[in-house]
Amino acid sequence: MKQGVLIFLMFFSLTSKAAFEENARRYSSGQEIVNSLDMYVPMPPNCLQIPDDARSSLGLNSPLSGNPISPAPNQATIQWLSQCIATGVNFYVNAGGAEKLRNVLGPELFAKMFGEVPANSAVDTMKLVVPWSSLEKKIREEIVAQFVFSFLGSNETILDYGLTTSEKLRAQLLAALEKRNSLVVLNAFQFLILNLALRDEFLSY
Amino acid sequence: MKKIISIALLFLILSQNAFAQQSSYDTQLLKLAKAIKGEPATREERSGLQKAIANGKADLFLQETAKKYLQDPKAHLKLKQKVDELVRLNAQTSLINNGYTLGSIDDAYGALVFDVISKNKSWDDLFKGKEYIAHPMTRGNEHEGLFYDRLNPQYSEDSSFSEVLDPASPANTSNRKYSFPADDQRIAGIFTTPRFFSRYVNTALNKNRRRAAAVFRIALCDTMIATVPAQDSSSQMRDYDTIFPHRGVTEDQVRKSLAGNIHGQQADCRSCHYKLDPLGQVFGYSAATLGVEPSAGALRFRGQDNRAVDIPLKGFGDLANALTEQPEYVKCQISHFWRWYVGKDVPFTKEIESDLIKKFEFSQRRPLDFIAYLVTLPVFKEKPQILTEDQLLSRQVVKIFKNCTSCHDSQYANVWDLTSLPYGDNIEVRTRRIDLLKSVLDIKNNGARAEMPPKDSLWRPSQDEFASIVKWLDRGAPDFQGKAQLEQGEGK
Repeated sequence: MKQGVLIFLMFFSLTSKAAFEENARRYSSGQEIVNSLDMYVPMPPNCLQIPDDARSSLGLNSPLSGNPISPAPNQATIQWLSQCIATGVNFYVNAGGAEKLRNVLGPELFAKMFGEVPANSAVDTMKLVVPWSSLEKKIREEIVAQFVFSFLGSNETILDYGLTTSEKLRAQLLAALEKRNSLVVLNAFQFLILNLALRDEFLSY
Repeated sequence: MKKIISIALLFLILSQNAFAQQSSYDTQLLKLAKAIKGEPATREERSGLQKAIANGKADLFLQETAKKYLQDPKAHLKLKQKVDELVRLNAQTSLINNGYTLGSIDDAYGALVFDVISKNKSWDDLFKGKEYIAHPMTRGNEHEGLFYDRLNPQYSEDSSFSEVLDPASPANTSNRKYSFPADDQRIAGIFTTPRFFSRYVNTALNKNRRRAAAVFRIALCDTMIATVPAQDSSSQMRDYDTIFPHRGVTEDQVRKSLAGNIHGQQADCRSCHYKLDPLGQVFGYSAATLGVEPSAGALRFRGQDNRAVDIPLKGFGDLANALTEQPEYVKCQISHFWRWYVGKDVPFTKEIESDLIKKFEFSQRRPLDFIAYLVTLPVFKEKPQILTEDQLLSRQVVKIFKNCTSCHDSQYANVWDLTSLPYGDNIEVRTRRIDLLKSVLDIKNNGARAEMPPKDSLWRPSQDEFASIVKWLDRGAPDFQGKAQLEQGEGK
């Protein structure tokens, strides 16, 4: 028994707790964050093309100093991205929206939820406004898993970042969605995108 | 049996630690995609990686994928944006469906940079290039075609970038390719483009020094700060010569004429002007546009190991050739690539620098080939690290010491590299060097009688910076791995 415990303990990571002040991560630029989002959410034109007055809050270098105003995404970045996401999710019902949603959910889950939809088509609006709670539990879990996989990466990648685990994150997201009784599927997607796209695992590399 | 299990466990733990730094293949793919293209890998690419892992060919898959990414226009655009930031321009970032950005390509500067990158030409062509694609008609306030027309170049109609032109532009949307002879002294890549000229505006008082400073910063990573002027009188006289060319008068006459001139008296002014003024003369006849005739000047600076560089220039052509032949140019450009693709937070040691110089030359200075090498380095594949306090402190202190190496690398090479940790292979050498550091910084008296930096230096560490150095010394001067170079508690 003692030997078993000893073996078990030795498999724990030997790295010590450390400061988070500067964690050797590189953040994507504001334009890259928007382009990355555009793979999964149809970004509105005024988000894809960053306006001049949003350049500094999105981390683009100031030509005067050669440096960004803020070394990491800040509140202004979050606000700007949030409004882009909130607008963008409504564009799933436009032409081309289906392809982006398929990128997130994967071809199998997408077909299960929305049927065979041609490329460059829109997603059926009616299927986006059904209550989240009306979906089978297994489907809800699969949706969350696919969103986490698409936005943040595989279990190994999330572990490499060391901030959380895929299991923990999926459980937290599911629990948060369960508490929001009146959500429809589209709102749930928006909730997931907002929570995932503002994490370090999505914003940096 | 127990012994075998213990040994096996010990091996497993050590190997876990050895591999603990390298990220998973999934993470490596993600990092490749984001670092090169600026976007995550697609689902298909991730599936491809899983198949490759199952077949034991993950490393080969990642290498091939990196090469594929480097052919993608998004990768070219990302690198182009880095160059925009380096030149301190507003990086054009809007993306349109065909993968090109409008603003980046519809000007001579943008077309040149994109051409060098997308065709993987020598990086030197950014500075030595003699061909431009410019629009002959007026576009907004830009008169790009007129900028070159005055020089009577050869030109032809060019439609290579026509698909990225603004559809709303005038009916004549054909661009023009301007070609100049290889030995044309009036032309030098990005330095002789309308965009560079309008970014670094000249005035009668400024005398092109702003442009000269930009050339030094972009090509040689010389930011004109923390310089100490020449101490010996012969070097001082040479400095005067280039700031105030005297053409046939005697040395005494020059000294007398300088006595009433503040720029001649002030050593800290001289320390930059001896470089800026002769280079500014190359821009001499070019105010808002290029001069029809070249203007002579000189490339002057103190290179590594106190090497005095003093190259007369007939014009821009000589400038570009002279710049790209300097070892400082190569070091500067590879440091840019390191910062862009590996990260400025990753220690850039002398050994790494030496290796990268060889690779840069081996790849014939082609940017995409060089990047393909950079992303195979073990440091690129490392997991995102959470730094310990000592690791963080070492990086902060090295950043401060870079202000010291800007002089000690060039003028006073009798000091070891303060930015390369640890400070020697054995404890005696490290102790001696750290003791010297404590002495010249006067750590004991909080810097009250510090010999370094010198009194006439333009830079001094701030209170916070000094406190960081003291803390670092107190914690045993830890290296980048957080390992104390000295015993803990021996800082003062």
